[in-house]
Amino acid sequence: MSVMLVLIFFSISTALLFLGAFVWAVRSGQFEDDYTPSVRILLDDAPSGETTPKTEYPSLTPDTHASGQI
Amino acid sequence: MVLPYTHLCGMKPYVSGNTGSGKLSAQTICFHCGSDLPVQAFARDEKSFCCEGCMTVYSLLKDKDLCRYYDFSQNPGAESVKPVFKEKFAFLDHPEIKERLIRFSDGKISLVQFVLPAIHCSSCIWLLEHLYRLSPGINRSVVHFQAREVQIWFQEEVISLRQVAELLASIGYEPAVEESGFQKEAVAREDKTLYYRLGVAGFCFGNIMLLSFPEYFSLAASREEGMSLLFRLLNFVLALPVLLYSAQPFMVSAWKSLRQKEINLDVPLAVGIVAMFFRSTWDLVWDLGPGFMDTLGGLVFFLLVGRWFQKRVYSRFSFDRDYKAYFPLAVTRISGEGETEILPLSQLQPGHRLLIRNQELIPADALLLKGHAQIDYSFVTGESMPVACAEGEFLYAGGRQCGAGIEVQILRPVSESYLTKLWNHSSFHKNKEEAFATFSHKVSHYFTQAIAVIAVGAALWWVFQGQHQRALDAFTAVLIIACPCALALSSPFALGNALRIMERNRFYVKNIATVEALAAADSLVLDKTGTLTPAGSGEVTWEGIPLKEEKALFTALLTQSIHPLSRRACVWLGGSGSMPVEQFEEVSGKGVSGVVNGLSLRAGSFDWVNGDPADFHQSHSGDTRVWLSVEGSVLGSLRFSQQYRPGLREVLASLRSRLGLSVLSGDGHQEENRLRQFFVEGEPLLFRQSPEEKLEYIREMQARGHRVIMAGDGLNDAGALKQSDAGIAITEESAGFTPSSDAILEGSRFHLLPRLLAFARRSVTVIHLSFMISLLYNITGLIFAVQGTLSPLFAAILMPLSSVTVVVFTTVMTTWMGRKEGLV
Repeated sequence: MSVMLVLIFFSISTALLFLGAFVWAVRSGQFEDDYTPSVRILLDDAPSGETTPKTEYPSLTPDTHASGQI
Repeated sequence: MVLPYTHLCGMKPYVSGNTGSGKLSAQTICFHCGSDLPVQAFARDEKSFCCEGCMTVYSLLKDKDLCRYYDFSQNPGAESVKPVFKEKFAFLDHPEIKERLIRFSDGKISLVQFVLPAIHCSSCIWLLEHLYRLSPGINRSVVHFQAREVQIWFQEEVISLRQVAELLASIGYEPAVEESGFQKEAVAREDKTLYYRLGVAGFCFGNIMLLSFPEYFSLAASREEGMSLLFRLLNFVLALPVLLYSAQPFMVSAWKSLRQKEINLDVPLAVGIVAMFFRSTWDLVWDLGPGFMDTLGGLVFFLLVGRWFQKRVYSRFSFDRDYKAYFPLAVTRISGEGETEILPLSQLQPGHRLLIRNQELIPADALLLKGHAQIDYSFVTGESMPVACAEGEFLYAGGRQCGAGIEVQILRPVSESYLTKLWNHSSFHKNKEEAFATFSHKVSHYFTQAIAVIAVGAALWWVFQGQHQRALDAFTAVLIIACPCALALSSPFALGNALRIMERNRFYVKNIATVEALAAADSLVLDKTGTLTPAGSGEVTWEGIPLKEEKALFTALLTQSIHPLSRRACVWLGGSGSMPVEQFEEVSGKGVSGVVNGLSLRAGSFDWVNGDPADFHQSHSGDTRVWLSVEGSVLGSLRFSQQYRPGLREVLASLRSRLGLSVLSGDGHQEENRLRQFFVEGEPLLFRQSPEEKLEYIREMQARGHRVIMAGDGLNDAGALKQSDAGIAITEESAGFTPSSDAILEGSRFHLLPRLLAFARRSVTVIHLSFMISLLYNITGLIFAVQGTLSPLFAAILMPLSSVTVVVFTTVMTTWMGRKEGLV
């Protein structure tokens, strides 16, 4: 009986965690572009030796519109 | 959903040394852009190119070791890269304009977002995300493919905003910079809220459903002391966010509708939601049953999915551009000492002197001070031929200069030009969306009333029978089960899918109400220039004695003239035009004359070439002709006529079977005879129509009860497009400006118009059918509801079942309809 209570508590907490993760993903702009990343992963990486882009860029507040993906 | 790779022209794995399409001997297309090679192709590194532009881009990429660009798609370059003159992006140096374009800057690194209409394949994505290799000042760039946008982080100290734009143009991805680009942010923000609501609804719905299972199936857990109460309480708590947050859009919409004494489809939805919540709370308090929170959660979740689906058709066009988007952000002003400076358009005043270069727009009504003006007004008035203006003449805002630079003086502010007056016309302030009654809207009226009658009727019946509790049960059950979830999903899914199919055929529709408007139409009004004729096309035919050596002579003469007709004549005549010309004279409106190889030549109007009217059969007075004469004797004339879109006759024939056709053109009568051949007796062909006249014509037709579609491409069609029930803007290039409209059709797909309209009609039939299906479900549920025997489990199954049926049915049917029309 008390097992039920414990189980319900944990399952709802886990679900809440997932909801939180979803909200975070939406806020960080991951749902703004759901097509380009699918193409991007298929563009081969160059053989080593090529330069890579500089990774310093201004830290983005949730209000700006950049997806932080490579 | 967008099928993956439909945009990709053919992916090839990276293999070191892979240099693209075929061996040299088999090359018949340009290595860069894929268009046919001319007789005189350009070559470099054993590859052939169609023009210097393509070759230049290739060389640039080769130097920077970026040739993998050619590996991901075949011939990924943009066709006909237009050379950009040096000053084109000079306005980006201006601080006011920079401020508006740069989204974010921390002093060292700045972020800019450009729209690049040329983005079309995976190679584009690859190249644009490797911009850092083209300039050390660029840190990083990210492409948003569907929006055709790129975000670039760069160091302003190393490379300026202007240089970034010039760099993009040099590789064939010229940015389109215009005013309306700034409006997109508000839209993006709204989208996020929908996701939040969807997430909350999904979370709550899933958990409520799980917590309801014990009671539904009388499992051991629910029979224990206090457990069922616990479950019901938890359901209540979980249902609160659904009611108060996720269901907001529907509640607000229903409320607004009721305040306007109207009943839209959200009204019965809101009523159902509220009924579910209160009945469940009632059942919880009096321990009467598990409640309907499960159904509530599911309903809101599915409705939000429907909304999300509608929004997923991502449009890269803006349908609401006003005339300001047509103008540049800045102009070149000539100051008192003769120096030029960049002036933002917002600071333009009457009295300013401006330099207007080739292909630049005249931003406001002005006076021509210096130079040869050949103004192309086709976009503004529909006239197909450029107008030659002399110094001191008045130039209208919106015209485009074709020829060398001219100096003008602004007479009126931008906001008081002729164009603006058109835009202030009352039809622009009418909100078309609210005016059109969609099928859902009409149905919801009757539906809600019927439900109200049934609910009250059932309740009264049971009260009569003395069973008050049952009366309450029946009343709320009817409201719950009749909740038109499936009904509400029919339109979004059917038309959302239809929109997607249309988009794949380069027909971009603003919203689903437009599809219904297109289906309901019985008349089609067409513009001529740019709509029935592809922009910038034309036929040249020679009528007269055959020319041999004279061709080279006239080429030499006509090369000296900058009149557009002269240039087209030169193209037809061919030759190099390198012979010296003496005593060259060009008289505006008449023609040119000169002496080449000792022979006196004239080219121009009939009078100018000294023709004797008796010798030649005078053609129709409206024809555009350039007559040629040598030493006073007339050889014949070059007739310039417009080329109509291929297959136009067949397209009009199929359109005619369902719609009444007419043509309204801003051009003169010269093409009337030729145009008449495409149309039948009784179809009006009106010329010299001003923008107001076009608008009035449509208004008159609507007053007579017709539902009109307007198809046009220029600013002079803007009023008509707004006034019509559905306005289609025809565009030749995705970068071009299109006036405010309800749909955009790419010129190359004009021949699909009859099929697209037929598809719209069929899609509306699919909606009707799916309404019937959802009604069947409703009736099934009502049978139990009126008896007061509706169980929560039954409702919880019926609702998702009906929703899924409708979604699958509409998607499959519209795709099938699309296939039947050859659009899929």
